[in-house]
Amino acid sequence: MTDEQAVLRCQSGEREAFHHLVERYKDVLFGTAVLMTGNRALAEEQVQEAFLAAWRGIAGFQSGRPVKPWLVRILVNAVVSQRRRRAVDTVPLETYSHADDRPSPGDTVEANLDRQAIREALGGLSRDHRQVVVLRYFADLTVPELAEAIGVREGTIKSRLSRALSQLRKQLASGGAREAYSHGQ
Amino acid sequence: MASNYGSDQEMERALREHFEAEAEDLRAPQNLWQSIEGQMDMQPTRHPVTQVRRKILGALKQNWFPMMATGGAVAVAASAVFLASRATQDGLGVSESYAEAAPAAAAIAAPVEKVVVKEVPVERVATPAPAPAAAPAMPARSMTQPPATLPRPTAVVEKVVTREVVVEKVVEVHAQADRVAPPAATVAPQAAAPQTVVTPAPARPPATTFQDYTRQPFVATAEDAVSTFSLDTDRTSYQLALSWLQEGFEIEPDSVRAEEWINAFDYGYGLPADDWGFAITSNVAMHPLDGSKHLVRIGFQAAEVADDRPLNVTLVLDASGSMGDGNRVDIARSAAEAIRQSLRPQDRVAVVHFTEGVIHDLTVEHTSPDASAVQRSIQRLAPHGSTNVQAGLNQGVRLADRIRRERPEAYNYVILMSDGVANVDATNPFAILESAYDRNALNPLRLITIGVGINNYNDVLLEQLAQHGNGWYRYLDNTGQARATFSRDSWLALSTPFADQTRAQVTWDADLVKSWRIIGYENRVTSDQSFAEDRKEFAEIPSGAATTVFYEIELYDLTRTRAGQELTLANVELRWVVAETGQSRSQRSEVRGRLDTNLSASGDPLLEFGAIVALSADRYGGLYDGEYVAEISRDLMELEERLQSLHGSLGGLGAYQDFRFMLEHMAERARAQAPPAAPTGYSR
Repeated sequence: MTDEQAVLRCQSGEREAFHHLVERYKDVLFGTAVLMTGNRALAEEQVQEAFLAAWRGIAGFQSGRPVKPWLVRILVNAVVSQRRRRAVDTVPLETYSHADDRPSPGDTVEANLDRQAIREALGGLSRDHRQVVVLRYFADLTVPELAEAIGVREGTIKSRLSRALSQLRKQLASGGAREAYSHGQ
Repeated sequence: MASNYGSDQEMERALREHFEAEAEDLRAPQNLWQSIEGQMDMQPTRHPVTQVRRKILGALKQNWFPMMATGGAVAVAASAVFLASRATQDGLGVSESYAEAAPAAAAIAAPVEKVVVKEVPVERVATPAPAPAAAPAMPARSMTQPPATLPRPTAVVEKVVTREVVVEKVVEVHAQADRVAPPAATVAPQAAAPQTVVTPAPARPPATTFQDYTRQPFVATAEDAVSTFSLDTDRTSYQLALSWLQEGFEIEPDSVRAEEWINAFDYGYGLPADDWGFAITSNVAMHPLDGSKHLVRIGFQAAEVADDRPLNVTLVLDASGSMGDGNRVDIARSAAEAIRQSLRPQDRVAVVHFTEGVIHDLTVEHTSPDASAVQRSIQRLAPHGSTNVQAGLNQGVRLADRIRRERPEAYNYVILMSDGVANVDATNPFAILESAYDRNALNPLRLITIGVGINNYNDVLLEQLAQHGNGWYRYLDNTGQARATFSRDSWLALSTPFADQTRAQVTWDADLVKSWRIIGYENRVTSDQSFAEDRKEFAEIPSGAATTVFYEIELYDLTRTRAGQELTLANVELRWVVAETGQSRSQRSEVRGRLDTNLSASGDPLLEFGAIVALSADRYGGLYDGEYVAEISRDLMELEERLQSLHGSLGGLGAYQDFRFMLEHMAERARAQAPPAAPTGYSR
């Protein structure tokens, strides 16, 4: 079943078609939420909330449009909204608990060191920068899709991505030390 | 490190590989569908529920207005029931916020006490000068309608009382008799001084939507000497912040757009000698927080022009259920009616109401402002249903386009009044604008957005719609303010467009200026190449309006030996499209000043005041990231002290009092958030 067919069937009230969409996109949404919030329990809540919002709103969704960016946009709204409701910041990214922290059999020690370093560097990014990095390179959204998901101009996305990459490079080069804050940041 | 991340491409590849490797750990729980399906039983799709909701609303609608008019608990309870029902029904975008709004509405469903939050008598501002009624009336089309007007440096008090705008300001900021009580009982009864009214700010307004735009960094002039940005006359971010604080809420750091705080004040720039362009003024002074840097202020004052072209006005009114929260509908109705009354016989006005679609029964196509159908339609604005901003704007644009073709000599305004809580069809400003795209660049439709409401408010949507819709954005928080903003004189100035697609480019002298940083304007900064293009997202400047920008700059050491001389630090060029003729224009000036100028000794308290506003907004916005809070706290405390030192020259002004009240809270919040010891790695 294509996404378009699934959407049309959802719009006529078929739950099974929605089940199909959930199975197809649940991993990318859950991973995105974990990477954005650093908290698996919170991420699960947010993904549920996002899918339920999608189900409630699918009647107004224009079939034929890509589904993933739409779902990601709803998820981003859910994350932002929950952040406000809780009125506390979420756990820093580097503290999120992995289902299994043991190295995979094929991984080298070097590769694991790299993964840990990148995790920490991602955790050192500001929330906005981390968001664009996760949506671009994990959720694999294009720049226009990302702009629509976050609700800012493509130019802003590009500049955030560029700054985020530059900051990651610097942090990795210096072993994870944060850049000195200037009033410009 | 084993890997090499020397370029962006290598970093991108590393990230993709990293996430691919992490994906295994980031799989969703197996039982996710079961959890979702369980809740779907209670929350089916919108088709059947819409009917249920209509039944509920049908029952409520009968008594809606009488209940609201009495301010009774029943109406608010009905609102809570409605919001609760919405919380379970609407799907997209920001709809999750309703779940939050429902308990908030329920919480005030107990007998509502209409309190005066802070009703400061006009005399407080005007004393000891004559009463405003004795002031000479301002001529039509001569006012810029700033909400927070400061006098020019001399004759402080006289200027205040002779300018009607200050009276407006008092109304705008202090007339709050039609508000309901904030969630926390932090308001004092009448006539208290601002700084003693609300302490401390207890909460953030629930379910509001903002966009944090990362603050601009310092740029090395050797790498990039050119700064390009769109001008901006909005001041909504400041109005919202002041309203929240007065309502007992905190100011959200991500709601702060520093340029809108800066432009909330009138710095008393002189008008240009000719009426075809702008007066561009610049000042240079030592940085008040950092001895190694300087501040630069550039002001752009548009000419005041008379223009008797008629207007085609299309009012697009949000009649959705969220507008039933508090007094939003009353405010929107008052604003619409004030605009109608301010229109002239040669103008035309149309009205569109929308909920989940356009309410065709209430649509009035363009006609005379005095037509009874227009008045009736405005009066019948009533909240129900969900919000399809796209449908409302589409219909408004259709009508506006039709009348534009019939009356090509007229200016065209589409005025959207809403809380911005779009939840049906397109909910993203760009998608909404795309559908209502206006292809006529020579005689454009100008989209003005008017925001109402405190809680459950989408600032991003309204701001972006106006910015990219060739218009401007205002916020109204009470009916008195609505009437004042759109009073005939105020409306005449606001509705006379002077310059469209207005942008500025500042080119720093690379021999003198080591680095520069623009304060605010994060979502107005544009590429240097775009400066040559007339683009719709650049600012529309009404007649007589002013825009101010501040830069922080770092100079090369060698300039210290020339501190006593007047130096040219930059060239500034302004480009715009003349609203009346559609011709492109440009104007140039120099940024000049003495480097040894001390803000306190500049002889211009408004320059120092503006600098304090700019730096306070900028630093406070930085709290959003949660980093370097101690340093931000220290800066805000220093700025607070500086502001107090201006009390002698500006202390009698409402605008000063308001801002001092805000800065005290901002500094307090930063102090409360700051860790006991300052971290290292901070430099100004």
